[in-house]
Order: sequence, then C-alpha cells, then structure tokens
Amino acid sequence: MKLLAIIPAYNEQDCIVETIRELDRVAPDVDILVINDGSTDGTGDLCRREGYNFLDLPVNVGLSSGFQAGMKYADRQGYDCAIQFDADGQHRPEYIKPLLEAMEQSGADIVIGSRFVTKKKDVSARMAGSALISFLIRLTTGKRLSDPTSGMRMYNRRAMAEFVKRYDFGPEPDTLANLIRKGFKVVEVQVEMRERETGESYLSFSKSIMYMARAFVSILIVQWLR
Amino acid sequence: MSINYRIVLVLGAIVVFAFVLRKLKKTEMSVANSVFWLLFAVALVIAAVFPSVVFFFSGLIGIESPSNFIFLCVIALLLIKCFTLTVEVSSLRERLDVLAQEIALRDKDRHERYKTKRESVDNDVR
Repeated sequence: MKLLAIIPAYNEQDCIVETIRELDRVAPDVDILVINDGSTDGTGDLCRREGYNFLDLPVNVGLSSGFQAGMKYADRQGYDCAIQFDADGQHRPEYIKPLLEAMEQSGADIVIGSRFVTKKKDVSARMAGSALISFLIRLTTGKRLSDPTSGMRMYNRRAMAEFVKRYDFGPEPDTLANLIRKGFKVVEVQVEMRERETGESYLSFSKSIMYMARAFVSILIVQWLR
Repeated sequence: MSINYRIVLVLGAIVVFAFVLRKLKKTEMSVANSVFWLLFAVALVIAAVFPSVVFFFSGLIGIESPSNFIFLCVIALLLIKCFTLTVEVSSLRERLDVLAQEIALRDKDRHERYKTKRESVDNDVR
C-alpha cells in the first residue's frame, strides 16, 4: 500500500528537520508531504533547502484546511492511504507500521494511534476534555473511542475522499463521530507519544475552551444535519 | 416623540449617509452592500419626519413608548445584518482556503513538471 505521511507545519523550524530525519530513518518506505501553512519563521526556507516534498500555502489557513490540502494531494497522486503526523516530534514513526497492518487486517477506513487502548488516562484538564469528547461520541454513535483527540490517524482512500470534498471537516474528533455515524470503520491501535519539546501547540491553552465548545456543538447538533 | 429626539434621528441619518457616500465614492463599498445602509438611513428619516408611522406600529404591538419601538427595530436590523455578515465571512473563508490550497497544489505540480523536464533534458544531453 502506498502511504503518504502528511505533516502540517506552522512555524516549526526548530523541530521539523529532526522529525523528518527520524521518519526517514525509521520508516523509509513512507512518502512524506510537509504542509507549510503560511509559516512566518524559517520553516518554508528549511523545506526548500532540505529538498522536502512540501506544499507551500501562501497564507496561514489553519490545521483543518492545511490538512485538507494534504489530503487533496494524496488523492490526486493516487495514494492508498494517508497518515497525519505531527511536525513537533510527538508522534513516533515506529508506530506507522502497526497502524498500517491494523488497517490492512481489519479493513478499517480509519486507524487511530491511541495512547489509551491498554493504558489508563492520567488525571488532568486535558484528559478530562478527552474523556468528555469520548463520552459524547459514545452517546451519539455508540462507539467507544479511548483517544479521540489523538492527532495520529491513518485514513484509507474512502475516508480521504470525504476530506477532499467536504468543507469545515478537519482532522478532529467531531469528524470521527460524523464518519462513524456514516458507517466508516474506525479502529484504535495502542501507541506511545512523546511530550512535545519545542514550538507552540496548535491548541494553545486559551483556545481549549473554544475547541471544546466547537466539539460539543459539532458532535451534538451539527452531525445530524450533515 | 420630542422634537429633539427627531432631530437626533435626522442627524444620525445624515451621518450614515455621509459615511456611505464617502465609501461609495472611494469604491470601498459595493453598490449592492450600500443598499442596506441607505435604506437604514431613509428609515430613520421617515421615523423622524412622520412620527405617526412610528406611533401606529408601536401601538400595533403594544409598545407604549415609540422610542422603544425604534430601539427594537434598530437592534433587530443590526442582528440581521450581523447574522448575514457571519454567513458571508464563513463563505469567504471557505473560498479563501480553497484558493490557498489550489495555489500550493498547482505550484507544486508546476515545480514537479519543471523538474522532470529538466531531468529528461539532462539525460538527452548525456
């Protein structure tokens, strides 16, 4: 299976090179596409200098639309599946293979690299939010997802097509809920993640409330309309 | 409705007219978008010049003070405008995102074709 790793990068000059070096070393068969989402630091220059396969978005469009650009590329280039991979080094490339194997064996449309299949969530505000979203998804779809906010997700062509044609459809938990309800098969595989080392998360603390509010509205209301 | 209140309404309408006309002159506002604001100003003038109209409608829905009725109308209009603007912003945002994505994708496509062309030229030379 031809797999593309989509790496959204907004101002990630401090960690992008190390992340890609590790990815190249550990998973050499995986093609890489960096999405330079209108970075204002040296991310774009780094991509050019290192000769990365990358998309250069002229303005910052945010994670959802940046990732959608990557999915459009994967779709047009005929990839069988695509995985979202963080630029900041949180995701470990040694888990790409187990995810791919799970996708092939189970015939799942989406495979989530989950931190909590066999391990318990620690107690923090962030995990309370995660548990709440899990509950909402369980409530509306009946499906138990232990790590709905994990950013490490693999999609097959069928799921890819949804990301290409729909708008306001980011790589987020509410999208998972919507796809589950539409009959997409989602499987979780236990992975480990690192704490992020540098850079600022897409989800800064002040934005968490907005993130949760959006997830609530989207999972409880909007998914019945779309 | 006191005469002072009516004067304030007319002054308000004049200010709105002045702003809208200036933006229209500098083509910083499209004619279609100016219609709302011009009608808004006209409505203020009508309310000031013919208070009987305001009295009639406020009586109709049981509002004692006609100035309250004017408040209600202005707030309702602003909410409608705000709502349509939100819709408009969402639609603009979507189109902006698609444009940015297409620019990046086509840029990349062109770059790839250029690269493969150069490589084949290089091979021919060899």
